[in-house]
Amino acid sequence: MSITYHLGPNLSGRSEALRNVAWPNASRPDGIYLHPNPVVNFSGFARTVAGETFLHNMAPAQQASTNSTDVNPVSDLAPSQSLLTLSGGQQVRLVLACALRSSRPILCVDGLLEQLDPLARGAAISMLSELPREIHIADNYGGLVARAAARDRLHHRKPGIPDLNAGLADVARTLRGVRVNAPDLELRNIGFRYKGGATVFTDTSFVLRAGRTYLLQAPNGSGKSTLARLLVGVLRPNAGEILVAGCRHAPHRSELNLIFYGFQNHQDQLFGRTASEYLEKVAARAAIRPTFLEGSVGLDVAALIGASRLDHFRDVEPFELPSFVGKRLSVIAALASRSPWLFFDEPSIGSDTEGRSALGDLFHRLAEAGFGVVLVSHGSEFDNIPGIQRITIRESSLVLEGV
Amino acid sequence: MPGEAGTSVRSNRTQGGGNKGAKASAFCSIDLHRQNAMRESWVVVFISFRVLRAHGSRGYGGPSHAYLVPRLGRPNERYPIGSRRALHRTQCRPRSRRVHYKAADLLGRRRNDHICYPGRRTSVEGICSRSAGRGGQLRHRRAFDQPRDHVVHPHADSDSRLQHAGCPPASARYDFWRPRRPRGGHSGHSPGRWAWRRSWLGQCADNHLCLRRNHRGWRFRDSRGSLEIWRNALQFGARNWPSFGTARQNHSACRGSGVTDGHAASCSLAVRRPVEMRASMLSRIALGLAGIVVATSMGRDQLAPAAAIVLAAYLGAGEHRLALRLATTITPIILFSGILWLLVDGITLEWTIEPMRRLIAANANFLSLLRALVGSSAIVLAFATVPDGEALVALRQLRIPAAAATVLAAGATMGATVAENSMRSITALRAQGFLAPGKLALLRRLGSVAALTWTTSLSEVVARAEGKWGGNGFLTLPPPQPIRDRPAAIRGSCVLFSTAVVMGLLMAGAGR
Repeated sequence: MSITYHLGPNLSGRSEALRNVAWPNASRPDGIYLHPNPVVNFSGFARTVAGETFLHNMAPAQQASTNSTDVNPVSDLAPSQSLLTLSGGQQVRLVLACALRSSRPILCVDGLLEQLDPLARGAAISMLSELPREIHIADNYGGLVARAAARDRLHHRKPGIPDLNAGLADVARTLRGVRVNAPDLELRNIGFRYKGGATVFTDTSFVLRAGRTYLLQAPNGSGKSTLARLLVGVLRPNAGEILVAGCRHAPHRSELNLIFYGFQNHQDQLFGRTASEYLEKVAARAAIRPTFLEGSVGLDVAALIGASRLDHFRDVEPFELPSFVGKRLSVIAALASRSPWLFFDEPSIGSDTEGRSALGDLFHRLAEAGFGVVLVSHGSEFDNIPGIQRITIRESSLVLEGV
Repeated sequence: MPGEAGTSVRSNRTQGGGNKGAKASAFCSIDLHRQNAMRESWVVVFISFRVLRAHGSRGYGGPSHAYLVPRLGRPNERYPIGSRRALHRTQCRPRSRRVHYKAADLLGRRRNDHICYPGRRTSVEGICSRSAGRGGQLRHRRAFDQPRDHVVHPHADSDSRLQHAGCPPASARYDFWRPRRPRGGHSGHSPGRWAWRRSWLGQCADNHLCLRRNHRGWRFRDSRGSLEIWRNALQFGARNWPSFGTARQNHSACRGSGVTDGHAASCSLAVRRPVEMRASMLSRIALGLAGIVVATSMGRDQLAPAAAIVLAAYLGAGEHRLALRLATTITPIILFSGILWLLVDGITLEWTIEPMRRLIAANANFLSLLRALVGSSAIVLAFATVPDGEALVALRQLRIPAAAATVLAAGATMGATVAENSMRSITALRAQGFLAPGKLALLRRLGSVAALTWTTSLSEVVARAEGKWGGNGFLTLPPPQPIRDRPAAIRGSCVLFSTAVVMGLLMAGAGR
């Protein structure tokens, strides 16, 4: 019926606005609000795709609108597929499919669409626009998609809320004089397959040079997170080897600090009682851990918090942080980890336009300082980073895009 | 007729005259199959041993009436029957097709879809049961019909077999195959009928004994077969137990040994698919109560009977799968704990009989552990193993209030979530240097992993409670639905009542 885009900077109260639209009356909600973290939108009672859709078909109040649309965003998913094995984009599509079963007249989507690749995002938005409902979308990519017959609602940051984007720019500025030396990373004939699952990598060979920024863009479920887990050493490749500075290295057996992995969902990564305690623990551990990195950033935790303007959230529990702040904290922690290679999974999720630009600047500075940086993103926010190299996963292999 | 269920579609006339009970059960209704298999299981094994002893290892059936009973293993050289003639004699294809046409018309499906095997909708929606009205009557599938996912049609499962009809060539005989019944005049104690019967029972013996056949029809022991049967039983439930006579259909027939066409793959997929478990809710209550009683019962004397009653309740309610899972889950833990206990006591008290006495003494700590294990396992199994998506529905059917049902169902599902979160926590700790490689390091840092897992899970649950359940009103569920499976409900209530009585007596005894 109509789509309203809620535009504005981070911490401007867009999520609150969406909740107020969806739940104006606590006793009788009018709409459905979809949380930015797709897992939270699952019922928690089902283990498979079929189970989840079954539960959402169950309520009689929700059966009325089952036929409201013939589009099924999860038509390509196997019904027996476990929810735990879904990639981020697949989770989002399942959440949307379940939300379509509802008969509520209002549907509020908070930042979920950012996690879809451009093709799926376009399809999802066109599908939503055809629904006979009132759709509200808080999407930092709102300005990038075709928005026929859409309305915009602007939000502004309230006074007293710190500008974390400016803080990110400050951090990037402090990196100007920093020079570290990270080793090159080489994957040689790597093969990996999950037990009882599909093959993810077959005879993959690729060299990642330190001092460069790589942008890994691949469809959902193609193996981006698997690559990170292989480098971290949680998974062991079935074939091939990993070489660091030309020497064989087995991450699954080694304690050497090679990769810092920033999770897509920051809650999987953060721990400790407060935000500052988390950073302190990371820094303390990094100080005693052997690393491939020569040199250091030279910022202690206090300086890091000060430069990134996270003072406001210093004593907040990591799990009570707003999503955007938690995500930013998970990125900042990389600077305290003394890891030569930094792997960020969708670091710009939840960031507004300024934030994405500031993140791009920070990653460029990190690469200039000598770190190896791998970014995973579905958007085009990092296209402007000078010298960025696009890589993708095609036919179970990591390849340079355009080659 | 025992053994006829679970086979291909056959019309009444195909079965010959005389035996009204042998009228066909089309589309392999599992309830019939189960009943028949249970009824004949011991008889089959007994008779088949006699058959094996009488005829060695070369096949089944005596030399007489060989022209009527195409034997497994040896091609009939004396009276060779061509496939066209066999087709004419058995008329398997046209008559089964006629029944199929009837089913297809009833269900509004295409008539040419006569090859029915698991995974096809046509094979699960219509039932031609001899217990339905007059024998062989077709009816729609009802709610309480058991799903028949794992049933394989050995006779009509591929085009090639249909062509061979009642007399497949030797190369096709080393799979499960149904011999043709002799036509009129061979009823009662007719030698032809007995030959047919022997041949049929011999195959059942193969099924039970995990025997397979080579290209000559000679039997040999399949070493992997029995393991696979038990693995299937563990994984897919009681209906695939070997005692129910579907073992061969569960493994050998679908492993591509004899069937090399595309059907083998699809069949294999269909068989390995986890079947939906339709357990009686009341029996679950019984099991849960039994578990609670076991967990709280005192002393050695009550433990053994209580555990036995738990298992008996499982078996009585038809929950073989749960019983098996209970046994396989806790038995290793109990054994390991006992050994550990003995070891520790043996070190301190020297290696005498004393540690053993202390282990099984009344009010021993080990018994407490045992009680906790048995009790908690029974409770968890009773409530947490409902199939996917049904936990909440099942609890609501038990008239449990929505809030309590939500808590229980969420708790049941929480296990998988926690497992996944712990994996992510390990990755996060590993990536940030807090976890060294190796299992020993993981053991050392178990506290960190648990803490991160706990906080991640908690945060997820809190957000879900706020948004999904609270704001979006996901808790607005329909009123409880009536339990349609009346026989299972009655059976379950009987088990519940008897269990409650026995438990009450036990507890009264303990009180004295």
